[in-house]
Amino acid sequence: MEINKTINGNVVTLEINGRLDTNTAPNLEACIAEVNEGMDLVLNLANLEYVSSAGLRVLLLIQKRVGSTLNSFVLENVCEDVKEVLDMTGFSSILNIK
Amino acid sequence: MAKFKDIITLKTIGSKLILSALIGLVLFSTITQSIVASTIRSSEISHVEEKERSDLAYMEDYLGEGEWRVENYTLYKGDLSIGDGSEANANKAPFQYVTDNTGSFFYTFLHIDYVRPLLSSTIPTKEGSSYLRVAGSTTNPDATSIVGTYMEANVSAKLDKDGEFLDYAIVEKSRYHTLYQTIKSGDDVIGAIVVGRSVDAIHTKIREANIRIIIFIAVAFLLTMIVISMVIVSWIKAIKKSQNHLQCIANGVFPEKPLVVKTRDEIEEMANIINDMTSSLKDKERIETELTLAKEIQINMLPKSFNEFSNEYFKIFASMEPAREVGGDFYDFFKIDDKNVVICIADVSGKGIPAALLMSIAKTMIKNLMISGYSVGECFTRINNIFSEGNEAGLFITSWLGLLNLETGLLTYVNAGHNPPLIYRKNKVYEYLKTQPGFVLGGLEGIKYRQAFIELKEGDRIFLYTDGVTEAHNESNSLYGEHRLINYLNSCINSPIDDVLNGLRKDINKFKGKAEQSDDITMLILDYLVRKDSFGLTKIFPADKEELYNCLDFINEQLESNGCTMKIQNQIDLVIEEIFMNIVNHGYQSVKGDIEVTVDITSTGVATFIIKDRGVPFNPLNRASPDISLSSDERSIGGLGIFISKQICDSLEYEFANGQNILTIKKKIKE
Repeated sequence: MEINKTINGNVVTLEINGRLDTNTAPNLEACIAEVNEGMDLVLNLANLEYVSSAGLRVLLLIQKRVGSTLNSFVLENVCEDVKEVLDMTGFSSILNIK
Repeated sequence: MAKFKDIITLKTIGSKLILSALIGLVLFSTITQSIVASTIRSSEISHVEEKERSDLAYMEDYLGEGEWRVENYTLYKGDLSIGDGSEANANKAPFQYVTDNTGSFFYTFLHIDYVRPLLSSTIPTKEGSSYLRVAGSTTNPDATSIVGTYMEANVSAKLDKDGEFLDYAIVEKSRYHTLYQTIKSGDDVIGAIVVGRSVDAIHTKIREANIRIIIFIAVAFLLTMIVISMVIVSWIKAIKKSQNHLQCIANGVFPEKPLVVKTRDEIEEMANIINDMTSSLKDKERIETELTLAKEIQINMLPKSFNEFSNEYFKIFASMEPAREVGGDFYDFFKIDDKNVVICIADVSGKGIPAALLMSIAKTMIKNLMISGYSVGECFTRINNIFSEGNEAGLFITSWLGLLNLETGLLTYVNAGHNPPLIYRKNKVYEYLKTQPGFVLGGLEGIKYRQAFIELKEGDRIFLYTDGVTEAHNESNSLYGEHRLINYLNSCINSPIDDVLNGLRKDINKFKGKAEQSDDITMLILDYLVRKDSFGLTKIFPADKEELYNCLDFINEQLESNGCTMKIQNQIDLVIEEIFMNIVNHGYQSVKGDIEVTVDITSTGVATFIIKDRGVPFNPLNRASPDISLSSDERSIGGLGIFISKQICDSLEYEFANGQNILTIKKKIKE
């Protein structure tokens, strides 16, 4: 998994390439921890092939920070396979998906 | 006891010594006797001669004063007529008188020049003799007078020559010593006189002396023989005792008591040396006995029930021919369960007890770890760590370990610096099963052994061996080598495996000739007979999060080859990851273990995944499903994975059997 980070004003965009699974999820978690308080976080999932429950766990952790340490959290360009998993787990209704 | 024949043919020490003593004594007695006899004789003879001379002087004195002379063919002494050769004129009386007084006999002779012609014509002359007897004190044996007979020719000749002659004569079986002297008148020899004494008495003396010597020698001989015999008997006893003692040792039995010999000589010293030798031999034998026992134990540790072990899936055969010493080679095979068989071959560095000890530990550990459900890689990783710790002796093991799933033919294996096995694929030739081998076991702590796998097909054959095979050398030190091995194996691809191994052993022995076997020769061969294609492919992974991708790769490979879409692959990956990580994190917790994954895909597109582990019994399906309708703040973080899995899969079943958590997952992968 590869994470490309771009900061534009108050918006931090993380482009996630590859697989978000047990082994890679901690990387994303570490990356998120570095995002300053009060920022708008965008995850660009255009190149995310796969997400496992460990990945979902990180997404849920991020979502739990919205309102406290994060201003907002948005998922962009979610591909169909990942979307299906999000739907299946009820994450679609919690997360802000564009 | 020595046989009589041996004594006669001088094959015993006793007979040799006694014979030598006999010869010595006989020589000694003979020489002594002859020296004594000749000494006695010469002294006695000179005494006799002296006596004869004094008797002769006495005789002449007795005959009266005046010179010897011849007058009118008659011999005179002074005025006393002695005789003329005729019986009538022979004056014997004075001679007889002196003989009676001295014991010497006398006779006088008249030289032939002075014999009365008349008389000389009546007396037959003796050729060469110049002296005619005229008077004396001796007679013929028949008591007739010897007056008028001639002196013996040889005596006469010698007397003529020297004027005096000493001789021996035998008269009536008695020995006499005689002294002849010529009688002279002025310068003319006119006759002769002989005086003689019996030397029988001397001979009797010599004989008596001889008898005394013989008695003395006989006594000395007897005493000597007794002493020698005693010494010889004690020697023979000591030698016999030593001989029996040594014979016992030669027969392999050590006498309980030490050899006691008290001869106070070299034999006693020898006995002491024998005792020293015995005790050091005992020590050596004890060690050798222990080594032999160790070797037996070692060989008995190796499984040999090939036929009972083999079944319809496979046949196995193995052999270990140990070198002279106990060594460190071993092979092993055992079943983990009905489907999984472990085969192993190893060579412990070094020889002797240290290697054998390590060998037995290694063999036991491999079996224990494999039966406990560890993967082959993990098994070696653990063993390596245990052996590396405090391995000051620097011993190490090269080993090849394989786990064969009999149903699927999947052979998962790991190599720790060992010769790669040779694999024969049906209708092909033997090839090395080469992988990057790991480092030797016990060499370096902390090495992670990577396992590889290969799928065996029906009719495949795998041959494991130690370097004792390829490094068997002949008398000119050339090695049996890999090419001979491969050539031999290829020459008998259709033979039964036991014939292959036995034949190969013969081939190696033939090559080796009289050279000594320097290393253990260990081989294991396995025929894979049937592959049950009916149900899937199984692979074992260490329960480690790093292994997740290997597991997913293995599964995806199967899915892809069955035309599964990426989407479904991802879904299945999600499920497998969930289960796999659950086992890693919760099932084994901090303990290491294995996860066995079986994939089966039917032609109708139904995929079955069976995931087994030996971690703590846990049914993941019992976990409560999260409420997905809750808000993000309300939702808990865990429990999602199983929930997703349940969503994705067509069925999920859990059972706990044979100490294993077994999760069976089914999913249709094709429409």
